[in-house]
Amino acid sequence: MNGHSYELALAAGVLSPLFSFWALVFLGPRMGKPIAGWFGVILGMGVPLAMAAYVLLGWLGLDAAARAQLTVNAIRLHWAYLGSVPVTIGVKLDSLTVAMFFMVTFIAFWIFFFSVGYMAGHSDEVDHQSKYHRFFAYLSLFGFSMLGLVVSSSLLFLFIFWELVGLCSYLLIGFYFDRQYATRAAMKAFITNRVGDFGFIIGLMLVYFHLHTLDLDEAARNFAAQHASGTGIFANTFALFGFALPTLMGIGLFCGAMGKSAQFPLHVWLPDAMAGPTPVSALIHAATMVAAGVYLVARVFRLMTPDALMFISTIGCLTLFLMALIAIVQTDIKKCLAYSTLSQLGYMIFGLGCGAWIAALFHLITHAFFKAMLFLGSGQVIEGCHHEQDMRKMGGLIKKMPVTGITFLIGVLAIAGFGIPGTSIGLGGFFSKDEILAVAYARAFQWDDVKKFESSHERGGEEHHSTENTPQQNGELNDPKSKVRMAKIESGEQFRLVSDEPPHKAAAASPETTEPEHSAHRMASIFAGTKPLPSWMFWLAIATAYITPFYMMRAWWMTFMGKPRDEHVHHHAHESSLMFIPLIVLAGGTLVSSYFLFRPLIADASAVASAAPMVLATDGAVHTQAISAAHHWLEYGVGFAFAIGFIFAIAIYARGLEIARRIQNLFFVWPVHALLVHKYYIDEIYDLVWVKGCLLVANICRFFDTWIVDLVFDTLAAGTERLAAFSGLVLDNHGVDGVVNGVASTSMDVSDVLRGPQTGRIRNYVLFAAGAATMIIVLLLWVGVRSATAVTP
Amino acid sequence: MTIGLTHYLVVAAVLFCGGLFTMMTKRNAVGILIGVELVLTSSILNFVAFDRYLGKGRVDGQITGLFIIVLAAAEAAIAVAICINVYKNLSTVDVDRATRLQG
Amino acid sequence: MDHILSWTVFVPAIGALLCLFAPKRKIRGVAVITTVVALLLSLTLFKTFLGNGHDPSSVFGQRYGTLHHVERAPWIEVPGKFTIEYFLGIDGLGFPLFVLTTFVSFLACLASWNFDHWKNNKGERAYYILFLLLETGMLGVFVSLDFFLFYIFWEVMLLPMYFLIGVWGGPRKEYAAIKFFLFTLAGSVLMLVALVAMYFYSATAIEQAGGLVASVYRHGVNITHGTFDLIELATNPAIQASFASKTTLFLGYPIAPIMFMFLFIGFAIKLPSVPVHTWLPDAHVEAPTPISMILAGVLLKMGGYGFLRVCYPIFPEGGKYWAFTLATVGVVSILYGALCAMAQSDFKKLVAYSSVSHMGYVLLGIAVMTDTGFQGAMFQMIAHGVSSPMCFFLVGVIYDRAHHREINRFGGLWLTMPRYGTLATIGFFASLGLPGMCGFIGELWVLIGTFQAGAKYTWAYPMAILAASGVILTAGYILWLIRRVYLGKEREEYADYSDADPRETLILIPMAALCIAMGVLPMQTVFNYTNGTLNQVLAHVTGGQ
Repeated sequence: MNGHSYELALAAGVLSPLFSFWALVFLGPRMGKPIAGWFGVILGMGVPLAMAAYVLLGWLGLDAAARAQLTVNAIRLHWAYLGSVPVTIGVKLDSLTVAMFFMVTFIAFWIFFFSVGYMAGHSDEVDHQSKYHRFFAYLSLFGFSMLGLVVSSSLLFLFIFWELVGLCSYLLIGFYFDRQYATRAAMKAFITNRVGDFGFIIGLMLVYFHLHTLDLDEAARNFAAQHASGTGIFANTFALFGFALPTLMGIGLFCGAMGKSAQFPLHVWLPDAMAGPTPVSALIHAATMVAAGVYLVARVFRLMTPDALMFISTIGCLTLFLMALIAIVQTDIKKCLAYSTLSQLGYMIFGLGCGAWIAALFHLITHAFFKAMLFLGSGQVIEGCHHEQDMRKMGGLIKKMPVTGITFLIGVLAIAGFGIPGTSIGLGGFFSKDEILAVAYARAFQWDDVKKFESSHERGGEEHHSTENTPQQNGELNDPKSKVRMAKIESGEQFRLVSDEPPHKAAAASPETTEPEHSAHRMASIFAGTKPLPSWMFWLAIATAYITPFYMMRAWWMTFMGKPRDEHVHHHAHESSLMFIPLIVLAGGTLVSSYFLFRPLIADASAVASAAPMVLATDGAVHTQAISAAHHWLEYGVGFAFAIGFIFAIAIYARGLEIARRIQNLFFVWPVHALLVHKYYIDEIYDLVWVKGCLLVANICRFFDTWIVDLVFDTLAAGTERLAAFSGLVLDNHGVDGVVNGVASTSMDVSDVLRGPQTGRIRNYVLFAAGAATMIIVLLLWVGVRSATAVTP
Repeated sequence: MTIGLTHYLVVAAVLFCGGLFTMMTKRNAVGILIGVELVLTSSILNFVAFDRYLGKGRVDGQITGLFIIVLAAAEAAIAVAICINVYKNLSTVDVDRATRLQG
Repeated sequence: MDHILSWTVFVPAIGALLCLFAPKRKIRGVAVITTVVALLLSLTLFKTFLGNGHDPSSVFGQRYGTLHHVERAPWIEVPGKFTIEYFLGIDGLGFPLFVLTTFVSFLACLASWNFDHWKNNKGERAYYILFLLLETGMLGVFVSLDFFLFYIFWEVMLLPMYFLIGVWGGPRKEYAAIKFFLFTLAGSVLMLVALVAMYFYSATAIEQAGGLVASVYRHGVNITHGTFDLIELATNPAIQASFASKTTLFLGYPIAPIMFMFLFIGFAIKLPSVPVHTWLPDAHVEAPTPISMILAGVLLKMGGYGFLRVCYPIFPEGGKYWAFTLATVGVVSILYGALCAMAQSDFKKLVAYSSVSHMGYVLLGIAVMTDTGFQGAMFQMIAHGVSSPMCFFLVGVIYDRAHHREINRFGGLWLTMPRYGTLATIGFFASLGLPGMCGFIGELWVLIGTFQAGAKYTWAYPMAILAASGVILTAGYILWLIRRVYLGKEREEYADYSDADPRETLILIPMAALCIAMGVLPMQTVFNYTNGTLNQVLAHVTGGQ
């Protein structure tokens, strides 16, 4: 077998959308309406999906050793020198990449597919036919960037693609760029992301400066080596706000994720981003791009420190709770979904912060499926209702749109964490979110137990790895929870043994693997540095688990159930058959992704995380521990959260909006309601502080430039001019000119005297000539006489 | 008494002085021209006389005399032409009134 | 010895001569052909710099002063005193800028094709003659290695520029032209002082070393008296020792810092960096579009080139002495330029201030004296040399139609002019520093280089972070600009505007393509030709540490 065929396939999958982009840019206008769309679907995402499927199938057939071999042998092309450090470009081939690549291509393909129908209507609406192909060009470019981001082996390339997805997001949010609010939202998205990127760049600089590389694996190796020896970045005593340099590096990188994954202080762009066409919201602002931040944190997990993770979990926790609250009061169907996305992203980040590496990524993938489906469903509703997005005007649509309604409900159930506790029956969130909460619980309340368990596990964990099978071949496939646990403990650990270090480099720089005493050392340092999670974080996360089902059910009920509240909207409502195919496929994807394929793949990849020198990816072990200790009440407590949320939602909204209106007018509710409706006034504050503040400073600078700096130089110039005037008028006229003029006037005077004899009369001249001649003769004679007399004696 | 060089020179001097006097006193351009001719004539006489008495058998003086006669003739022709033109333009040959070229 | 450099430098001058005698209708054609010839000639240099592909030392040699296509002949000789040479040569510092110059000149020449003035029969001949003379001056600066010759080309370039702005400019052209002229001239005066001082001090140094010192970079040549040779000044051990010594005094101060400062001010005016930047916005606003392109694309680069060619190699001690000041000026330029740009309502002025901001990165990258910083600064110069002429041309295209540049009066131009809008987006995003485009590489390299300097200078960390915050401001003003001009509803007053015509597209597309190519393949487009020399300069400056 060609050792590089998977990498090449992935690379082809990345480049194909790029080709599609250029083709659409140049040839798009000539392709016409449906053709350009289908072209984009096939070349932009069909080919990558095929590649993804090829790689996935091949990958599943490989055992851990073969995978590790492929990872190690991956091609690295030399791209440039950063100073004297070479920057390489290559495909990071591991299970996480394969899983993400497949997820992205799969979802994107169906969203592309959906767009062909959806945009046919929507690009007409904004006239200009040229926009249709442009939409698919942008989507293709997004496909290229997103896939590039997923496969990047180097932080620098990750950053480059990171910015490119930001660009696509900008272009697509502002797709209806003749509308003010769309362009404003696009700009807001890009600039907010840039704020995050500012942190990312600082993180990159720290990585480059201290770890001397930008390659992800190499950076992690160097980080571990420096940690083990206490050199490099760890020898630096610099600290800011009480954070040591390695922590600052982690936080810097996380800042990028905060921007892209819209975490709390930088979340403001995502709700506004809903100004873009609905497929864009589904693809970019729900399923893939916003998850890139989570993906980044997962990728650089090995560079994290306990303090950095604490920071991350704090941010994630705030986001998940605060955004869920806002979602309760949203009336715009897309905004409601946007806030739920924010909240779910908060869960993922929170999970990573807790060390629930596998759970967070698993949640990323399940969320991608059901949120994409929810957004497409909302797109279907909006399309059917003639661009009405206000849920208060909907209601009773289930009869007109049965497929949409049902798939939407599946999404609602999945996000709410629907499942039957104690069994393995459930949907998406039931597994993934639940597990994040379990880890959080363990980190908050059972940290000592975890310590004990991990320490013993580490010591005893070396022998049984190699004997296990890969999780796909594991007999327990049908029971996701137990399978998952096994997968982590077995394949994950097993993978750690063989994968992460290239054999030839292992001797040089692999302090974190293979040697038991080293593991023990690592554990000791991890436990020394890690504090238990503050309990309020756990309680907020649990509370949100109750809020989520409430607002999701509220949205579903307001839209699909009850009596139609606006006859006009209801009358027009219809379903488009072409567009519900993706809905059904994604609903199927939601079901399947909850059980199959992704979880084991991620678990397989988790060796990356569990090799982290300073932090603990606690998944498997903690999970086991948590269940044995206190997971039962957690499982039931959270497990029925969805039911409680649903019941409240239905109770309030079953009979229209009257009850809700009354509640929100209660004297103690309305201030909160107002606060939530205004999104905590964060937009207003930002506008005042940042936008206005920045413009103020800019105007001051401009004023300074025009009136002060220029004034200085103009004054200098004017001074010179004065000096020139002085020297010209005073010095020159009376001094230098005086001399010259003096000469002139003297000669004038002299000539006036001399011109007297010049009468112009010939007679006078003759007289003068004769007189002169006479005088000369007389003179000569006199001289001659004198000389004659002188000679004579 | 033999006629010697001195006599010639005296005659020439008289001619010269007459010419000079004429030039100085006449306001009529033609008169001045006549004075000029007299001066020229005196110089011719001098050339010839010196050649005759002091020359070493050569005829340089005579030739120069002839040359001056030709020159004088040419000069007279031009001068008369000028006079005529002055008269045509100014209706006078009084040199004191022909002051147009004066600065 | 071949004469490719001489030919390239003087082909425009010959073209100017031809323009003088060409029939009126053919002047434009002659000028364009001349610039094409110069461009092609300069492109042949790639053959030299591609080398054998694997071994950079085959092109760049072992130390600073490995030159190609050298032409040298005594020019003004005072026996026993000095020899001013006609000394041309090219290495990794000059090469990319040389090619950039011919490239931008060609495009600017094309951009002059449909000048409004030509309709009124206003000085077409004079314009092209001055234009071509300007090109000769610019090209000469990048290849002349005798400081005297360098200075002459420097001044040769100044005068045509003055007239090109002052005659064919906008409403306040006289003010702008004289401002440009005086600022540059003020810098030139300081340079002239440095030039003379460098000669005399080198003469003294040689004398003290026994009156005869073997040249390091030229085999078998002995230096017996003072010199204007820029490479010799930088590499001659006796001269360098004397320049670096704290006991060599000029007006009572050590020579290196003070001479460095003189030269620095001269070049910083050209760069331009805050606070001597104010000629730039005025000059840009008043200059006609093609001249703005030249100004932004080439003239500003001479400042950066001057630092790398003259200041640092000859007075490395000065560079170390002033590092903090220079880096501060660089960072202030970045932020201050960006903030000023944000507050502008004149389209062209905004782009002009963005130049100040972008060139701040060049100064910062050079000031910190790290390999990454040098590379980034060089890349940023080339990148800015492609992207900013593009931006200025984009402004020009719309100005030709609207006859105003008020940002707030535009809107929805992307709908009106889709092709133009697309190219404009590329241009402005390149200027914004979007990854995958040219602006990004330069900025990132400079930022990382600055951070890297933290190993020597603690102040470099906060500098890097402050400079990095510039990326937010840049994104802010450029996106706001795009939003106000290109996005939004189509306005009726602009509805009948024609899209970019073939000529305009032809000008924009090479620049757009280069913007992307440089972002994607930085090695193949720039770094391969510059890094060798830059590393040598750096090794020389830092003493090989």
